[in-house]
Amino acid sequence: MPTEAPTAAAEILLLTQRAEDLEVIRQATETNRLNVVSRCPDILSWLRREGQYGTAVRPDLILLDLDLSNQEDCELLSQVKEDPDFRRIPVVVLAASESQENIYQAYSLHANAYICKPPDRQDFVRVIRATLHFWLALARLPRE
Amino acid sequence: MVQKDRLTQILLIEDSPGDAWLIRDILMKGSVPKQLHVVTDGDRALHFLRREGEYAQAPRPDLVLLDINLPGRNGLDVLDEIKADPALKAITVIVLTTSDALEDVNAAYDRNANCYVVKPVDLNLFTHAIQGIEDFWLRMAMLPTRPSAQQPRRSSAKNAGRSGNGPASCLHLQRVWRGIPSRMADKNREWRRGRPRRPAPRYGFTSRLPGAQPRQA
Repeated sequence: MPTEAPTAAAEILLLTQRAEDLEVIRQATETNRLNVVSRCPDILSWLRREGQYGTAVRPDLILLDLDLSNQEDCELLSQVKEDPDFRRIPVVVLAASESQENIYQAYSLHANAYICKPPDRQDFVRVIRATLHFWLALARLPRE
Repeated sequence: MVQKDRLTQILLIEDSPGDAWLIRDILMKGSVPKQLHVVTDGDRALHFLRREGEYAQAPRPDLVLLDINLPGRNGLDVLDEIKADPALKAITVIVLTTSDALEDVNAAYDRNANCYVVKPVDLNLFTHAIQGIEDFWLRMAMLPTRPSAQQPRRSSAKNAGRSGNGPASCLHLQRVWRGIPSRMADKNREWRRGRPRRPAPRYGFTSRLPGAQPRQA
């Protein structure tokens, strides 16, 4: 298959609290730069370059490990997607839940995509690879 | 990925008959069972989504493929309307256009487009892009289904494709395709439902079409 011209390494901002997920995502990220935070408020601080994130780079893609049945997680998603300064950055939700209610909620709050984390590690690596391939090589991303 | 046992409903908003034909041809060779509806301008698209007039029986799409350069109402206006309407805003909208102008890309994401894909001019790249949309959006991503608006199950959807449970104007563009899912999709389904999937029935004539072989993820 023909592929697009190689592009510069993308900046990915990931929110996850699970060390084992982080390991899988790191493995699938290849040459792209992965920045990781583990708490919801840190995503907003990173994007706003507050406090310790004063020199944070603007991500090209945001991956959020969320549980949409949790109020705090819903609020984070809506805060990211309502802020005129960074709402255009694509947000891919990674979730354990397959519940239609959570999926519908995520898209209603303007998540760009919702991915279910497969329990099998190899499947998970493949899903993350395919996700990054789609967003970084096939889709056109917004820029400032 | 949508609920098992039903066809994925796709609405293509595209005014170029050549592009619409090509996109349909590529999507229908993909392994995910789907039904494609085509409308040629923004007003028809909104009528379809709101089930107005001739589209009263239209299904709610799982995925919308939206061109920007449309006659009359521009694609970005259509996007605005969809994403500002509480009943429609959860629908995934992929902007699929020839424009690779950064201002269009930014404008689309600012209006909450789910993603933006440029239609390549080269046929191979075009095919690759559409297959990429199928691979990610129909096989990896989970798509929203409005809790109160469940779609017809496959048994009735089968009749819909044949006898036209949809607007007459896009009947000729509707086709139902059932392929055998790829091994990747099979594997996903196995862990989703906890037991192996029975292969879907396949129409004999379609299996001989070029490109009908299941592709690897």
